[in-house]
Amino acid sequence: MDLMGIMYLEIIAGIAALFLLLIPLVRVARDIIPYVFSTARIRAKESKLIQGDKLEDLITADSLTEVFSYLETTEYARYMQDLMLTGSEAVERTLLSQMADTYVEVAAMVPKNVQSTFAVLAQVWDVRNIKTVLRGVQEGIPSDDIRAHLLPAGELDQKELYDMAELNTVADVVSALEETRYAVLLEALPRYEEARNMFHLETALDRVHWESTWATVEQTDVVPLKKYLAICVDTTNLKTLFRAKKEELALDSIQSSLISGGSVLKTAMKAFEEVDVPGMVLALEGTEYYSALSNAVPEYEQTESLIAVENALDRYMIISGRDISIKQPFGIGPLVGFIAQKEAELRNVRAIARGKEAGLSVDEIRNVVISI
Amino acid sequence: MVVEITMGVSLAALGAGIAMGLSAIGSGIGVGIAGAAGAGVIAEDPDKFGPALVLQALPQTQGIYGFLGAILIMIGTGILGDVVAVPVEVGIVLLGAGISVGLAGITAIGQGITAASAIGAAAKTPETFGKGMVLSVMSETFAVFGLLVAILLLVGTGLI
Repeated sequence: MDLMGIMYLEIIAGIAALFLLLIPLVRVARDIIPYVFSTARIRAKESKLIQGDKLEDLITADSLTEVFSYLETTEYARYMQDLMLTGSEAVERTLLSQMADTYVEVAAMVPKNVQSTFAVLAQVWDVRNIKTVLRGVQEGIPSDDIRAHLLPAGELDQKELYDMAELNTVADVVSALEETRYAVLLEALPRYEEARNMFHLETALDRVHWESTWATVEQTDVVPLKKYLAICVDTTNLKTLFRAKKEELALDSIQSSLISGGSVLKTAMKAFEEVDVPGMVLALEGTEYYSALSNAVPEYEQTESLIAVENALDRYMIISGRDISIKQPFGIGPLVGFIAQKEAELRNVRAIARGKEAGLSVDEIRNVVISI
Repeated sequence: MVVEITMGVSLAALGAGIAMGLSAIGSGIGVGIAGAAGAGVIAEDPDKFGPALVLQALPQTQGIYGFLGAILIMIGTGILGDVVAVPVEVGIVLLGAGISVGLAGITAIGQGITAASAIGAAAKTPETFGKGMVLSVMSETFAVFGLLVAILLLVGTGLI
């Protein structure tokens, strides 16, 4: 081969090397591109969230009517037509209806590898509906009133839910769920009947929901989603343990209600050995929840109400979701952050509506609102 | 006009092709990423089309630099314009000029990613549009350096 031939070969090799440089770039683009559309869409949705000044306007509203008027200027307006409820219940219904649609929208946006998680997450509506039926039946509320509070957006359809609302006893409702994924309620039924405490059935429902959701991410490498769901599981378990401690229940009686998963279950169960709620908080030192919980202890000691502790956990969960969204701007982060912020919006507007209806002061309402 | 295809001209033509081709890949991917973000935003709020379009256009400039670099190489070697003799050594310099513009054009991918984030940020908080624009333009600096080096090489060899 002459010199020219060698030179040609060198040039061809050089150009091939240039194109090899593109491979890592294509890999970066491949990781980002599936999320670009959904991330931007979520950012646009975030602009409509009721936060900051908008939230402050609601907090300082003169009455529930003013809250209604404000919501009619937002995307909630179309959910406010033909409401069968009144007062804060109508606001809550509006919020939940919009939230149900949000879950469906977000589930449709996510890439295939996490679609199953979001699909299972959306079954939270079944849990909410079953809790509504159980409470309604226990209190002897007429079936029409129970139906008005149901929102068929999960696996259980309207007919199944409406049929359950017609039943006469809690045991009948639990039996009606025998063929569903909520059959585990049958195991919790004797504990409910012994104490007539809905705590056992509600925590069993939460357990089914979160264990199903956790199972879909446990083996995946979608770290931000896994981290957020671990926090959801942990906060649910911690709330269960704090409530049990407050009601002086034994660990044995609630152990079956605790969700296996998360990151602090063992530590939390060990903390349950302490005599009271502040002692439990102290025993959680070293966990990521300690700082948030310890700040709530003085208010708990003053009011003897778990609201401060539960608010602290909710706040931590929502802020963690938002932080995941900031730390991972492309990927599952913004979707997780949006769900967390949407849950905060629901919680806040519902609290404001109930507060206005009950005649609470602006400061009292501000205390229960989670600002992020 | 028929240009005599010598080894020098061939190398220069290769440089022009690389300048345009790699820049086009960079700009295409960059604009595509920013465009997907723009589509996501206008799916929620069609009124945000204007800001999205401006930010989506930013990664296109690398393609323009590639096109400019390629044209300058073609003019310098006589593929376009007056015929000049191009020795092999000069052809290699022009190939280098083309590679400089072409590889610098890949910065459009990074710019597209930043522009996509800026589109999302502007959708959430419209006041951040200007700041997002500034952040997106930063990647442009290196594409400009790439084009500048190519022009200096062409000037240095006396072709333009």
